[in-house]
Amino acid sequence: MSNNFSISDPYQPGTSVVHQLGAQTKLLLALGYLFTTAAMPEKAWKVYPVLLILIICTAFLARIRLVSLIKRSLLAFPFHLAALPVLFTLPGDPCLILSWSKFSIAVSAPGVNRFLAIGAKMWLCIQAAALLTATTPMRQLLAAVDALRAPKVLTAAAALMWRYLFVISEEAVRLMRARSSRSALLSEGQGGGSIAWRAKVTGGMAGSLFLRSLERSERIYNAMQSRGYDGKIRTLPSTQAEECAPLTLVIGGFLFACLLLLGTLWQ
Amino acid sequence: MFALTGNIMAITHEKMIEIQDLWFEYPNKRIALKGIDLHIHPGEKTALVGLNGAGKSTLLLHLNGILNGHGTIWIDGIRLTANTVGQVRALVGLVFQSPDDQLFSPTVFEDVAYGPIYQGLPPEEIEARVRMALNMVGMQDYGDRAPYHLSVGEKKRVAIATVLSMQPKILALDEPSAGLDPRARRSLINLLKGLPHTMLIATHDLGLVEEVASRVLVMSEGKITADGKTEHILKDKETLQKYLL
Amino acid sequence: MHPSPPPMHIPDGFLSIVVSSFFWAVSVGVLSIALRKTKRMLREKDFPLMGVLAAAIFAGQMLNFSVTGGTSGHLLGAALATILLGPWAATLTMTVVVSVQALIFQDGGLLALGANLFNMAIVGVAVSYAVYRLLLNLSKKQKFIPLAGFAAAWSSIFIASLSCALQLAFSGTSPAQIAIPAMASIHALIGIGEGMITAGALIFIGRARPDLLSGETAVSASSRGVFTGGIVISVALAVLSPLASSHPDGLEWVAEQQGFIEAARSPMYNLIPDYLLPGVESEALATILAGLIGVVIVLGVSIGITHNRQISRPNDSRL
Repeated sequence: MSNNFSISDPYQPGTSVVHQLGAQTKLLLALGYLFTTAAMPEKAWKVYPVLLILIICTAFLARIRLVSLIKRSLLAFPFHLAALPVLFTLPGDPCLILSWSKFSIAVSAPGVNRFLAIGAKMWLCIQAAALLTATTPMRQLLAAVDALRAPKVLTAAAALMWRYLFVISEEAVRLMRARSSRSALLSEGQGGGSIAWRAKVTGGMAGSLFLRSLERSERIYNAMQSRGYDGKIRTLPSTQAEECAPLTLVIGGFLFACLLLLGTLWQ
Repeated sequence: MFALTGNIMAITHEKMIEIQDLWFEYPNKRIALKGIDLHIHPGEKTALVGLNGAGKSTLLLHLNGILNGHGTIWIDGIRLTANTVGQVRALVGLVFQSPDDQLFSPTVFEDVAYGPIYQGLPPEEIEARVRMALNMVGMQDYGDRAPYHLSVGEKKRVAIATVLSMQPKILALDEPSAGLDPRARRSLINLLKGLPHTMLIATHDLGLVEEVASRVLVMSEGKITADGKTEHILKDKETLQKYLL
Repeated sequence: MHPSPPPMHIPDGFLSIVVSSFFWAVSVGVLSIALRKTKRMLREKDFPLMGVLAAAIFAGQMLNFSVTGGTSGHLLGAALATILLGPWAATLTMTVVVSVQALIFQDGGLLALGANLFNMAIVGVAVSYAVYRLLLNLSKKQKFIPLAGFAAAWSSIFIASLSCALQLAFSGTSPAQIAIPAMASIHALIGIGEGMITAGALIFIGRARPDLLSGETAVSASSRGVFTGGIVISVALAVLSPLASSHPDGLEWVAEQQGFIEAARSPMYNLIPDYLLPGVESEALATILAGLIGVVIVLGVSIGITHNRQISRPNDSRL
């Protein structure tokens, strides 16, 4: 049972070159990287190491420990299993045959290739996204998204969500601790109530969280009104986010295009 | 020789709570508890005072295994381990600071019944326990009400009832009188005075300490810096000045 | 480290560029409509409401109840948001939740965000709205609300999972014959958890703030679109999925035949007479087998994700 969950802000403060780069630039570069990696032909194995080196170099420049980035990717690994069937169902030369009694199933070479490629791409993309959030505080990221013409309502709501995320998550943790404190067993294996009852109690906890958040939002609205809110969302222009380094973007774009080209040629 | 030993054994109390060299570090590397040693005797009502951040809440969370530090804890002679946590939670009723975090059922009755239901008690027993607990806190007519609509004072009393229904031997309370108006506070103090349980109460409310607790532990920066009878500690201006005021 | 909703957040690298772009386009389109609708319908208060409720949904996804041993049930929250906020605001709120999860916590990819938003913020919301409204037409009694909520929540998870499976299938990441039955069966189970938690929340809210649940008694003009849309999506996905899983698309089938022929040339193959390629030989049996394997795998995914999240907890309480 999760008694001690704490959401942690992925941002790691620093003064490296990467940290100082404009948020908009970083976001666009990250998206470019993601696109390049996802679009890279499966069999372009000679290019994947280059993509990896890009990550390692950036992490080094940003003075971010690779271990912290790798931790964020562990979350998604089980999802990789969803691609497991591809080992067997993609037609091609069988490279491994598994058989038991009358049934046999062949692992095909293209299947293995695709499975590994999906895993590699997934991992690389997560590292890139993790690097982005490790070097850019949320405020700036939102401002960057805003500058890219995302709807103001959404970015404003996201900013508010971020502000209250930790507070409300703490409430959720306390609810679970309170429940744990009253979850005692007289003897091993007895009690616990039925699954349906436990689910209902969890629902009550969710309901409590939601209602309290509702009231909180009313208080926030009152506070905003007291400060002159008239319905229009206005945010401080963030100089950092608007700073877009066109040269860096062009170089980045060129690099990504080259990698894709190489990938297509070097299959 | 035997007679002498016999006498010593008669004098020694069985410790209700015993903690040996408890250390605890938060994930962000902050060391919240630095070698806590304490023991509390059955029936003793002890107050835990100290500034915010001294480690009071952290200490309370160790009593029923929600947090696990380094060191040993015995509750009513049972050593607290992963295997015995279930038992210990029936012995220690932990009441948190904010009642809203503890009342998560649609009705007061269901909230107070959570503990007994989880323990797998038969329906008649559950009903009896709930009635008893609500009576003890003076909320017997509130069974059908939604906790959401109660006043802070009423919620605090229901929160206490939610642990009383498990018939614990120890009550651990975190800031019970915080946020209460004078009348509700008076009501709470009387309630705590009347309950027979061993208690460990973390609080800033020195008036409550004076009325309810017979013993005071002063905490500062993760350590217990003073331990003595209420009358002595509250008169010890030097200690209070140094660690509390 | 962060909470664990049901496993539907597709990471990057899983969807083809075509599929991700398509769903980005669809999601952006639907979201623009949602934004226009909310501007007219919502009061000023509702933007702080969406933000804070998004935080509550995120935190709510942390709450769990133990099912057996290591597994636990969780809440996604699309249905609950829909019932409390109405479909358009719920779509926007879920958009904020899923986007922040992808952007900050790498739960779900950024290229795949369009697809994930489609599954959770659009399909999840539309389906719950449609089912909820449909059932409330039968009975408007207070007591019936948690039941309607259960059905709405279950459907939202189930149908959204079909959408997710189809996206994976069309990208070639997971073959349709496996992905669809597997996702469908696992989420049929997970949906029960979502349903029960949603019902529990509605019971609590019904006691504390019944005024929040009375809402619209008839489907208003603007929401009629969502209502219809929800029904259409559910039916479409429910029909499309079994079709896709039993008939691999023409191109793939031909390729399989080719592969079959090529493999027949290699001597290794001749040692195994009962070569079973799903979709070619003994289709029914192969599908069942494949489905079973798939179920085990997706179950492994769900347990693996939950387990991983528990392992990464900063301060491990052994319970």
